[in-house]
Amino acid sequence: MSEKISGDILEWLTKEDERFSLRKLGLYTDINKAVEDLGSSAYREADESYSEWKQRVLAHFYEQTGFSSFYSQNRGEKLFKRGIRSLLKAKLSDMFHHSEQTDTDKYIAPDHDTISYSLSEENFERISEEHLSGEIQDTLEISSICNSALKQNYPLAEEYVIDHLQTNDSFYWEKVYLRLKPMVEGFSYQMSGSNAQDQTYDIWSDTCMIINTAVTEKRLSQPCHAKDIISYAVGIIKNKNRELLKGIKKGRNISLDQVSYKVEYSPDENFFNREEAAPQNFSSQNPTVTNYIDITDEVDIRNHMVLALYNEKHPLHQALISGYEEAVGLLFEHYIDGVSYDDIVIKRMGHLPEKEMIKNVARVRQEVKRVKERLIKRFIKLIKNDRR
Amino acid sequence: MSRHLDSHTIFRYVSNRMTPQDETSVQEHISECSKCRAAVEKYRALAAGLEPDASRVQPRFRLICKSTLFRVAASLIIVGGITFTIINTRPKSLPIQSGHDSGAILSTDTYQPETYQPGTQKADTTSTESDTLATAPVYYTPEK
Repeated sequence: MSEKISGDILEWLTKEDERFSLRKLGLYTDINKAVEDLGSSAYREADESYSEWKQRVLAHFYEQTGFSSFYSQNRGEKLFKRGIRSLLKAKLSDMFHHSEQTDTDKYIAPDHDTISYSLSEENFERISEEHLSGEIQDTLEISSICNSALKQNYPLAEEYVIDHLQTNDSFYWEKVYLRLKPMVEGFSYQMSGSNAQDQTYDIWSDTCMIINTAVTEKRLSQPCHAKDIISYAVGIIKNKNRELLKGIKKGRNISLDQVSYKVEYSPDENFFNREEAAPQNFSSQNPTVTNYIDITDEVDIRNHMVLALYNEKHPLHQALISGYEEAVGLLFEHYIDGVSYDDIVIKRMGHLPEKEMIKNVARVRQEVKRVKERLIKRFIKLIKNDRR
Repeated sequence: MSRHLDSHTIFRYVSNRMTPQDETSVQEHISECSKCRAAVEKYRALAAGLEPDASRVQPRFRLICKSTLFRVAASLIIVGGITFTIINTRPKSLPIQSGHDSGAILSTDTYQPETYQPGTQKADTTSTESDTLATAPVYYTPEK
C-alpha cells in the first residue's frame, strides 16, 4: 500500500475514532495495523470518486472488524452516545443553515442560532430509541438513519416548543434568554442611553424572570405563540427603560424591581429583527466567541478553548494567555512541536549535570501541567463574563 | 476546496461539528495539501495534550477492568485476603474468662475485665497509653 493511500485511510479512521471513540471502546487496538489489514481492498479504483472510495473502504473495514456486534454492545456507552449526538447536531446545524427561518427562530431564538433545529437531551434519547436501536452494520448506516430521523422530526413545531416553555424546560428557556440579551442591550442603549453593564444585566435578568413567570403560569393569551412571547418581552424591556430614563432625568435612583407591568402585550413589527437591536459588536452576538459553547459540557468547553489557544486572531486568545505566555510557549513546544521535556530543558539551558537536569525537567513538566489547569479555569471565567 | 483551511474549519473538523459530507471534503483537501494536513495534526496534538490526564487510561486495561471475570477474580482475592488476615492475626491460645456468653474478640486497649458485664455498656472505657502498654492483651471467648 502506498504511503499516500495509507495516509488517507489513516485520516478517515482517525476521524471515525474521533467521533465514535472506536479504539477506546475496543473495536480495534492499533490503528496502523487496522489500515494494514485492509490490504488490497484499500486501493482506489479508476472510476471511483474520492467519496465513493472512502465509503467502500470504510464499509469493508467495519465488516472486517465486526462493527455490528460492537454496535449492539456499545450503543448505550456514554462515549458512543456522544459520537451519535455530535453527528445529529452537525446534521441539524447543516439543516438549519440550508432552510428558511421558522417563526419560532424568527421571534425567540438567539441570532445566528436556532430553537427549531436544536437537539435537547429528550429528543436525542427519543431518536436513539426509535431509530437507532436495531442492528447496524457501519457508521455510514448510522449517518443515513440519522438523516431520515431528522427529516421526520425537524424542524420542531412551534406548539412543541411553546409546550416545553410552558413546562419550564430550561433547555429552551436558555435560548430565549440569550435572544433577549442583545435586545435589552439595544433597547437600553437607544431608549435610556444606558450601556452600563450592570444596568443592562439587571434589566435582562428581570425581563427573563417576568417572561418566564408569564409563560409558565399561562398568563399570556392562549394558544400562545412565539410572537406573543417576544412582544410581551419587548413591552417589559421598554417599560424598564422608561422607568430608568425617568429616574435618570429626576436625578434619583430607582429600583428596577419596583417597576410593575400590565400582563398585556402590543405586537409591534417594528421591534423585531431590527439591525440595531442585534448589533454584531455586542459580545453576546459574536458567533465565534461563546454563543455556541455548551457551558455544562466539559468537552465542548475544552474544544473551544483549544480553538482560542490555537488561533492567535481569536477574540479571546490574548485574554486567555495573558500572563502565561512563557508557559503556553512550553505547552506548544511540547504538544504541537512534539519536543520532549528533556529537549526543552537542553534547548533553554544547555547540557546540565544529571541532577540539575532531572530537577529542571520536573519543573518544566510541572509548569505545563499547571498552565493547562489555569487555562481551562480562566477560559470558563471568560465565557461566564462574556455571557453576563 | 482549493484555499487553505482556516482555524475555525479545522476546529469544526476535529471537534466533530461537521457532517460526514463536509468531513470528506476536508479529507480530500488534506490528502493533497500537506500544509493543511500538518495544521490539522498540530491542532489534534494540542487538543490531545489538553485532555485531562484522567481520561488517558489505557483502553485495554479499562476493558479488562470492566470484564466479569476480572470482577469475580478481584472479589475472590479480597475475600481471601481478609480471611487470611483474620486467621493469621487470631492468637494461638486464648485465655478463658468465666461468666461471659458472647463470642467477640475485644480490643486490647478498651477491654477491662474487672468492669465488664455481659449485655451492658462498659462503665469506663478510658485507658492511658501507659496502661495499655503495661497490661498484657486480654481476649474473651465463650464459656465452655
